[in-house]
Amino acid sequence: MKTILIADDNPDLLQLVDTQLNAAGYRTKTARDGQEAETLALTQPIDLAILDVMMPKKDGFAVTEAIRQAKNIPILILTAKSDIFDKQQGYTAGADDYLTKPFDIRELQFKIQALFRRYAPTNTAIIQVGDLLLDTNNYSLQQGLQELFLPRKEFEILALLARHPNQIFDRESILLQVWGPDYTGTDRTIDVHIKRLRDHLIQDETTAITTVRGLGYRLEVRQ
Amino acid sequence: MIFKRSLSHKVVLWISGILCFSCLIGFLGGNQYYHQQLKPKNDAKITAMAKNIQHFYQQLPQNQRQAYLNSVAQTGYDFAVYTDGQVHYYGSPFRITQLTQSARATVAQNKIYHGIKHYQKGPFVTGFFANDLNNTVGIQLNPHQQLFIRANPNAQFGELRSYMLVIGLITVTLGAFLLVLTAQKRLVRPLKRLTQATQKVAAGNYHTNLTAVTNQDEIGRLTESFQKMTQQLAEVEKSRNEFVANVSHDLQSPLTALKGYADQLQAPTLPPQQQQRYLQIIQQETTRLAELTKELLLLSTLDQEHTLDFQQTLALDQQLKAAIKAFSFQLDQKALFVAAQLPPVTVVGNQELLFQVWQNLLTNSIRYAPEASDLKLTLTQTKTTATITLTNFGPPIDPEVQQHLFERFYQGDTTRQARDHHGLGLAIAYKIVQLHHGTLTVASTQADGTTFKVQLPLK
Repeated sequence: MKTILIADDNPDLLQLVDTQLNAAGYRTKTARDGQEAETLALTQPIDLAILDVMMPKKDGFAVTEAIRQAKNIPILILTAKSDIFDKQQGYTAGADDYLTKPFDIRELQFKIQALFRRYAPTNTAIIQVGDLLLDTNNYSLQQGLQELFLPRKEFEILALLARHPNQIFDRESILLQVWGPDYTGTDRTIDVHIKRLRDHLIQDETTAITTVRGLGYRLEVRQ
Repeated sequence: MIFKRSLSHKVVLWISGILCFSCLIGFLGGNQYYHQQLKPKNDAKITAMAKNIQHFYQQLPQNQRQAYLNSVAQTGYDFAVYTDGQVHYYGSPFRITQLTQSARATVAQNKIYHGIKHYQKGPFVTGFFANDLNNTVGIQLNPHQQLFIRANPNAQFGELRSYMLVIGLITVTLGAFLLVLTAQKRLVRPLKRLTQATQKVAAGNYHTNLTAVTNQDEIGRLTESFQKMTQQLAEVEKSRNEFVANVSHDLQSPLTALKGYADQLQAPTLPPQQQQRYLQIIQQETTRLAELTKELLLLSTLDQEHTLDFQQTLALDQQLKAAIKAFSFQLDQKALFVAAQLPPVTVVGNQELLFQVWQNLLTNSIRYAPEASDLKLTLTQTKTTATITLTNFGPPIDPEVQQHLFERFYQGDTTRQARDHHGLGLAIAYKIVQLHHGTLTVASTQADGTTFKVQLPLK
């Protein structure tokens, strides 16, 4: 289980984020000011830090710098100041991402997952099939000179198929690996996503997702 | 003290000073002219007269000589006659009667004494009017008698002098008076009017009543640019008032809704479904308010453009890629696919502001793009321009609406589900592109979708 540090001087917001992240299956530690946040981050096993900018005793940028010097963990900055110039300062201090208040709690979770993926130790991040170049760490896809930004599920399906070109995947195993065991969708969900994925890759002539009747799908590489 | 404060007093002082100075220079110049040019002529004239007197004197019998000298004195000459050491003065008396020995000696040798020609030359010595016995021409009347003579200017042309003096005085006084008057009319009064106008403007009244400018001098130009400035201030004030009115309206309506639904929620008998619905509305309205205040802050930053740095070099392709990444959550929510053509292009500008442009255009495009549709992003460059286009395939925008799309608080769709946004995003993008000397345009058709096009100059 991952542990997330949340630092914000507003108790209501702290409580809200804490509850939501617990519900999403993360362990949490909370801090009400910058000094406390820094102490926690440096002494406790923390996997990710969410820091508010405006905090008593020490601001979020200073805490970011302190953590950056000691640990290699993802840091996400929360800012109430809409002044866009703060973001620059956050990146300079070493933050990985930012979110401006007010924010959608689902967006926060989305960003947390993306950060964990990016920091996950993996050696199969880059996949090349035909003209397609996938980077599973940051969900980027290049096809020749084009940058393609696929919706997450489509990317995950493509990554699954591309890791094993020409291998046939049945719908159930795709559902299991992409949506997870708790998902109660139907085969139809897969078909819709595959159709869209085909449309989005229509310009690529080196690969094709083909339907194997009665079995499932596979990614063909044409030479 | 008062002389230092008032321009009209200064004008009077300066003009008087200049006139006094001119008089002094005139006197010195005239005097110098007399010394250099007129003295020998005057001397020659008096010498001729003296010779005349000598001639007549010698021809007259002894008993008529005294009467002759008296009558010469009455024609406007002052002179002294030395008879064996005895001196007798004729005409009006000399101020200085101490005659030098050398003058007497010269005449005693039967030579002519040219006292006028050799009279002292100091710049402040009024040679012509010096009533000095040395300022004469000396001549021997006979071996016992010597004559020292000069013209008496007062007797000869005293009235002329007064006449000239009166003319001079009137000219100078009238000239000074007219100068002061002109200065008042041309300088002081317009400046006073301008001062009054600035005070009015400072007090918030932009109707200054300054008459139309007719003269093209510096003050005319000052007045003209002042009028222009006032008009611009009035326009700024007007648009600011409109802006504040719009903002107030945009803050008021969600607040009213919030209050209304919060009141409703207090009713104990409200069914849970309704509760849920009201809470949702409250959530939407607060989000809208928060977004609005954010953007208002940004707009006020943009209006102070001199504090912003537009000299940053940035890679547009990288920035656009980062912008899409930043929206991956929102794109994923609507299952949107983005195809982007991003060759390396570098521009000079403000990094944060341009990023804001992409964010605002993406926000707009994501809002109107249908579920699971495509967005297209292209980046191209020519020698002079970098062009960015962002296309979504939402419903086409009415041509009428397109015209006002980039105005602050303009809301295109008044009928559809536009409740959760307001009209600032595109206005901000437009303003930022404008600050970069670029253009932001929109084209929208059913077939080709809606395309926002940003063109930035390359330096």
